[in-house]
Amino acid sequence: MAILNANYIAARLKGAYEVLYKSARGRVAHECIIDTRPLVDSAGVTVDDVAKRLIDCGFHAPTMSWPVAGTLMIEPTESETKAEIDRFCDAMLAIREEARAIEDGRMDRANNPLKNAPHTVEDLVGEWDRPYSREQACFPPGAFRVDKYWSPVNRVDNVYGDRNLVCICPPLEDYAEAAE
Amino acid sequence: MTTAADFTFTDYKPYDFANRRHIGPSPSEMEAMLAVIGYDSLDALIDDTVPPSIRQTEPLAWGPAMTEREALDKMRETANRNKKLVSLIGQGYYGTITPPVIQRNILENPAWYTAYTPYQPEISQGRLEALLNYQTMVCDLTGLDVANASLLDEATAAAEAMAMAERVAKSKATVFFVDENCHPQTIALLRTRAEPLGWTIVVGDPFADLDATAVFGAIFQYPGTYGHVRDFTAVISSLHAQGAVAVMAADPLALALLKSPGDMGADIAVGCTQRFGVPVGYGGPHAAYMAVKDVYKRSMPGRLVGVSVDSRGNRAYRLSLQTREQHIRREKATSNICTAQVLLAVMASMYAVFHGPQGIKAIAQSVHQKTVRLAMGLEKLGYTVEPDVFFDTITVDVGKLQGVILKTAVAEEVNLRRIGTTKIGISLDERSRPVTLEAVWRAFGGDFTVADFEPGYRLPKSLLRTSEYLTHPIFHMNRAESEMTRYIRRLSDRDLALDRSMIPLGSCTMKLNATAEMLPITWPEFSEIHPFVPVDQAEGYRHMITDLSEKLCSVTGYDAISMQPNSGAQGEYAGLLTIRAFHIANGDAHRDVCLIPTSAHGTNPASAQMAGMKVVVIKVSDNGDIDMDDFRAKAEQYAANLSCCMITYPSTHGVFEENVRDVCEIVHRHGGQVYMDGANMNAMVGLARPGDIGSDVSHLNLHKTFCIPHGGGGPGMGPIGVKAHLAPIYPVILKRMAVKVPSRRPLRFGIDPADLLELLPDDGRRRPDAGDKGGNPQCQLHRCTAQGCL
Ligand SMILES: Cc1ncc(COP(=O)(O)O)c(C=O)c1O
Repeated sequence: MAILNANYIAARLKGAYEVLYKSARGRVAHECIIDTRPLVDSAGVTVDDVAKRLIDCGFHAPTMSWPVAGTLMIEPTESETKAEIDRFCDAMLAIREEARAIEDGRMDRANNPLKNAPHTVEDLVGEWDRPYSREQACFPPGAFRVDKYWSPVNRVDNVYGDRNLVCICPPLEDYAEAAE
Repeated sequence: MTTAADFTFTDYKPYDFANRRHIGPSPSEMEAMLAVIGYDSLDALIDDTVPPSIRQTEPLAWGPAMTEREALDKMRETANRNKKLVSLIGQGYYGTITPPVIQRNILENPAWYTAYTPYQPEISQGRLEALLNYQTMVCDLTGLDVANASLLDEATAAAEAMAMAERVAKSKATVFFVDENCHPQTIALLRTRAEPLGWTIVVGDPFADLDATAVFGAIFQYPGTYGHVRDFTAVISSLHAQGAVAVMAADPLALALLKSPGDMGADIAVGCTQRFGVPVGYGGPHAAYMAVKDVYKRSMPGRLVGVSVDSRGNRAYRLSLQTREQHIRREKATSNICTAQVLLAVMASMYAVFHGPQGIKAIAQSVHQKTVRLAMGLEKLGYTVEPDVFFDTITVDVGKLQGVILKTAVAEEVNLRRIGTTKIGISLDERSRPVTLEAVWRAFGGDFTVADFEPGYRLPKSLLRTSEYLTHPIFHMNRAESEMTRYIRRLSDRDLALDRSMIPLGSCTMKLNATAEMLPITWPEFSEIHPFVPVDQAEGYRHMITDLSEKLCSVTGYDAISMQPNSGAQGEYAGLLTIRAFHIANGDAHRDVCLIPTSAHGTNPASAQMAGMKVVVIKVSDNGDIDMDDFRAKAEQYAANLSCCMITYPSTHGVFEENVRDVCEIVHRHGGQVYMDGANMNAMVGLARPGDIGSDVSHLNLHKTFCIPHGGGGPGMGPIGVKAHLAPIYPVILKRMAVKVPSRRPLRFGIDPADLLELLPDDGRRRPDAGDKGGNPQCQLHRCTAQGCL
């Protein structure tokens, strides 16, 4: 069953993404690696952008950049229903279309739903000066309308955190600031 | 009246657990999916996917599946075979009270237990905050600057501390000193870990036997395993004067009353947070901690949660310094820790949030006072109680009476610790009641009530704690349970776990962790069994482990299984040590080369390095398979010293490689053994078996293939299976391990003696998948069929 689900995803994403490794017979096992590296050149979209955009769609990203840098490794497991897998594939396909809009010059290379993902409620209530709609930002295919998962924070800055290593609860003043 | 003719009979099985609950796609959905892929049956797809050369010929024959209810009944029966006594054995495992609000809202809540390791920080803010609380708690209690978010158990944490000490010490010595008052399992494990790396362990009295010029580091237990509470300040300075590193293994509850390791000058503190609300569970899982001085923070193993900002500049948490795990620095890897104990760390941190500093202090004081009372009674009976000053543990020399007293105690439903042939150890905890004390006194021949003794203190004045702890507001929230409930809910609402959506993480197998599989873990007959109880009190566990081992043997094609390792990486390490021991036993101690393809998980080379092996990297060809030419060449080149190869199957690239048999054959021809990483076993269960393909050892990640929840990054369980020729030299502890081939030479591996996870009850009922036909894999106690799943 896990094999079925993985091969189904590989089949549904065909044409949009390349499956990096297949057996001689064109099959994958219980998981598959899809290549998002071509998007870097064509649209400036990184594997990180895809992963964070999936959050807007209400998904946890697949394994990122392992075992091959710049790729996503997808393992659906047997427990997932067709509907859930389809929701995931719809999200992945929509992300590919968003990248295509950048490739075609219909969307800005720096200011787009992929680069700005994940979108938060804070984004919505602020000034909206983006070249795409709030609707597109927050309700991409895959996202639930009523039961939408809202990311509690925008994209986290990893480099900052490693440079300024703070590994205990920040003092109260910081809480007060954050609340402001 | 109706007759049969009026009645359309439905064959729908409402409680079919195996297929309806565990398998996502319904039969009609399967058909539609197969059509998209281009097959007309699942069999045809499988035939085209899994190479015929490795297919297993016989389906797993475990008989018809049980319903959910039957499975639970069976678990109940198993649970009832364990005897639940009050255990005052101590030795690193103590009774504790899990606050119900934590049990229900965390341990029993899929929002917490089904989450993955917080690699994607945006969707993990809740558990990252809980882990940050954990780190803060550990830093506060130990008086050190930086703490990680959990290691596997205290003994492993001590070993990680030893390895870290070796890296950072200025001293170039190769000896590590171990306080004889360390827990025996810690000492055993340190020996195992040191040996392949060429370090010597010297065990002794730190105040008499420690030569600071001869060691790169030393570890002291605080309080000691027999109860001693001693000041290590002077010994630590003598170590520092020689460029050596000081490690303290400290009980966090004792630290609420005692001078902290940081105040004594320790560089590293390790310990276990089990008694912060996590049941003993026959030895695990529990979260161990490690805290270090600021200067060493970048050398610390394990996961470290840090504070950063998001793109709006708002505060956001994340895992810092992700040099480990999949992205582990292969050549420089020093630790293989990957899956940790997140769920248990979260519980322990919530215990601290729940009680706050006053609560923790009150619990510690009460435990201490009860122990003083107990000692007074024993002294009144004429026994000499050691040591003079203690926290919660005392030792009594009873001479020839040892057997009688222990037996009487058991008759009083109390387990005490047998020490040597003449002593008895007793450790009290927050669960100990007046009736418990009275029962112990009776076992020693005394008829007292607690009211007969004034509560007192026997802590050394110089070691009383003066520094504050848990000062952060999070540990001072209003004590109303509604606050706590909402805090836990708020945090989990920030996260994405399996209770909200699929988590398609490759190599992680985020499958259903069925509720029925989770229920038994909080049954007291499982959760309250101390790991060192007499074996006849753990019949249920024994039965379950034997049964599960047999089933896993039949799934893997191996001849023996060890349930010890508590993560995949620990399994790798244990498996490699087994291979190493095999070569040594054959007079081939020089065989130390381990071939690993570049596509391997980072834990593989890390484990190999820890096992004292030299890693030789094998290329991967363009199609993602192992480069056979390179493999042949390297195997030949290193033939004389070839120890083993480590491969993953199906490969980490998600493909069943056709040439896997050749790989095994080549390695064997050159005198090596094959380690097959079983992380991807979910693709194979019921279809192919590592043992048949030519592999000699594998670990299985029960937290992947066999439904143990990931818990947000642990607990895990990585049992290893071996072929018969390795079984005699394979990790077996205290006959509890179910192996078909009895152990002749037990080895201690990187694992706590009792790493029979508390979560074991449910493994039993996992339904591994793989589209197998006929009888389905059924672990432990319940049977699942494949009917309808195909
Ligand atoms: C291929 C592979 N090997 C080993 C491991 C390590 O397992 P653990 O995290 O249980 O230590 C993993 C975990 O992700 C893995 O994917």
